[in-house]
Amino acid sequence: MISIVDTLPRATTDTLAPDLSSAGRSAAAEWPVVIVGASVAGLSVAEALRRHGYSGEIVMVDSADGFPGDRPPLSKAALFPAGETTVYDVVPAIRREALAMSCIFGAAATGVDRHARLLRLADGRSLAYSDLVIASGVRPRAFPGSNHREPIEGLHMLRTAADAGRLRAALARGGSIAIVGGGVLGLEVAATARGLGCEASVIEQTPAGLAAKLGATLAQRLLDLHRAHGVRLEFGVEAVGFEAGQSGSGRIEGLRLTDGRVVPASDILVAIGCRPNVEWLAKAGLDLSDGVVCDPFGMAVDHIWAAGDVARIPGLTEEGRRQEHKQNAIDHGRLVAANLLAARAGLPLKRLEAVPYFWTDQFDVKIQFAGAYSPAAREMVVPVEGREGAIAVRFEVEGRLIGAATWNAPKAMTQLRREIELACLPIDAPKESIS
Amino acid sequence: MKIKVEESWCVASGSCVLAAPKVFDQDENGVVILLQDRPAPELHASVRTAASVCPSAVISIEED
Ligand SMILES: Cc1cc2nc3c(=O)[nH]c(=O)nc-3n(C[C@H](O)[C@H](O)[C@H](O)COP(=O)(O)OP(=O)(O)OC[C@H]3O[C@@H](n4cnc5c(N)ncnc54)[C@H](O)[C@@H]3O)c2cc1C
Ligand code: SF4
Repeated sequence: MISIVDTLPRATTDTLAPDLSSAGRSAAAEWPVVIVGASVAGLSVAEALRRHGYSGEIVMVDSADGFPGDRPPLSKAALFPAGETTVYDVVPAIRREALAMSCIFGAAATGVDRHARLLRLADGRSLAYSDLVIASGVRPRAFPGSNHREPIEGLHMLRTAADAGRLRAALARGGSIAIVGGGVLGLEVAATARGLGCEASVIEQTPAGLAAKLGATLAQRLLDLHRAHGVRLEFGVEAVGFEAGQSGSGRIEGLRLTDGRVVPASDILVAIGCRPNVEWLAKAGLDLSDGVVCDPFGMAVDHIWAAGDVARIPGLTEEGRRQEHKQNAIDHGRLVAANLLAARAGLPLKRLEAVPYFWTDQFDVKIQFAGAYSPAAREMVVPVEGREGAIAVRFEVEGRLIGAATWNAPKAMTQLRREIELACLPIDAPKESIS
Repeated sequence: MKIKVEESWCVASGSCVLAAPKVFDQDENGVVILLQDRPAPELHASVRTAASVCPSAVISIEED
């Protein structure tokens, strides 16, 4: 059963001075596994710990007031008028309750004392842990130069259900939205806005946009699709500021570009990437050069692990570039739980072998991507039989399939994911999944 | 073990098919098809893996 605790579990008062002499160390193994972040990665860790038979205490901490809802709908169905109903729990309540963990909500983690194995919370309390899992995710980067301490009506970012609610209300008024950033998120919102009959412009500073992520063929197709649906695309130009309050209303009126032009807009969405939530770890002595930098087992340092958007864990197909996708957060969580328990039992750890995977839905197209893209890869377009307009693109390096992308071809993608896995797994590592 | 799927949440990732191909398949639009809802015990581990890798919490398992 989930208990929202205001009295913390044992060994958690602010006066606690843990005894980490050798006797203390064996006692420390009895302390709870503490997970910071109650979203995809954190819940994946908790579920996998229980699946592997861990029966000790699990404490989950989140600065939010409850479990955050699932994020992928927030740029899609959730922006339609009745959109609230499309945001589901990340893990249904019945599955969460089976985890029998303690949850502390509304409490930000503010620091870690690695040597005493204590997590500090904003309210001054400390929490002793046997192992700590960092799953604190990311947050959107603010528009350079904007002062977000004073919210400007019509200036949006999108990460939470509350953000989506504000954007939904704005789009429901009609009008026009200018989106700063032509990445997956920006384009998804542009597509949704057009679906709602709003005008939409996307301003992206790199001339090629998503080509560096999806390959040239699919990126081009995607931009053509947006143009065909009336999205105004401004690529290779930077947004430098916004016009607001000219008419005395304080509202957004347009987006200013480097070349002096102003894109008229009643709302602006800033979707220029995210920053890992790691400031609270500044004094913990971890490598924070790109989120929490981990080894291939998901460990940052002894007894501290990381998972999800915040974690950089080197995988099979990429040199550990940090991913911000849902499947990745789940795969990380499974890895960390298995390795945390293996480390306790003195068993060998397993490296991250899951092939990176993500999807995006725009207009009536589902784009899926697996593995890695490299500009050095040969890009081969393969038609998909029986599905009009569908294609698959293979990325090969020296004849080896390192990645693939599909356009409205989900079954082909499943086959490609299997093929990439076989092509990228080391020959001496028989495929043995972490359950 | 009894399996249930909530198709309306499915995001067509195919992750379940990769984990347990004897139990899950996909239709032409990628939506999950449950091939058997009471799989034999030797398939249980793969089904638990499938449920845990699904990016949309579509698969629920009732253990006997
Ligand atoms: C609008 C939108 C659409 C998306 N669409 C897709 C999609 O179509 N496909 C896809 O693959 N992915 C998509 N994603 C990405 C996906 O949602 C993320 O990869 C996933 O949420 C990552 O989960 P996480 O657990 O790592 O982090 P998060 O979901 O970011 O959760 C981190 C949690 O940590 C908490 N936290 C942070 N700091 C602290 C602290 N100091 N103390 C305590 N708690 C803290 C936060 O409150 C939060 O609850 C989308 C994301 C967004 C925002
Ligand atoms: S893993 Fe989940 S979302 Fe993916 S196809 Fe299977 S049921 Fe659907």
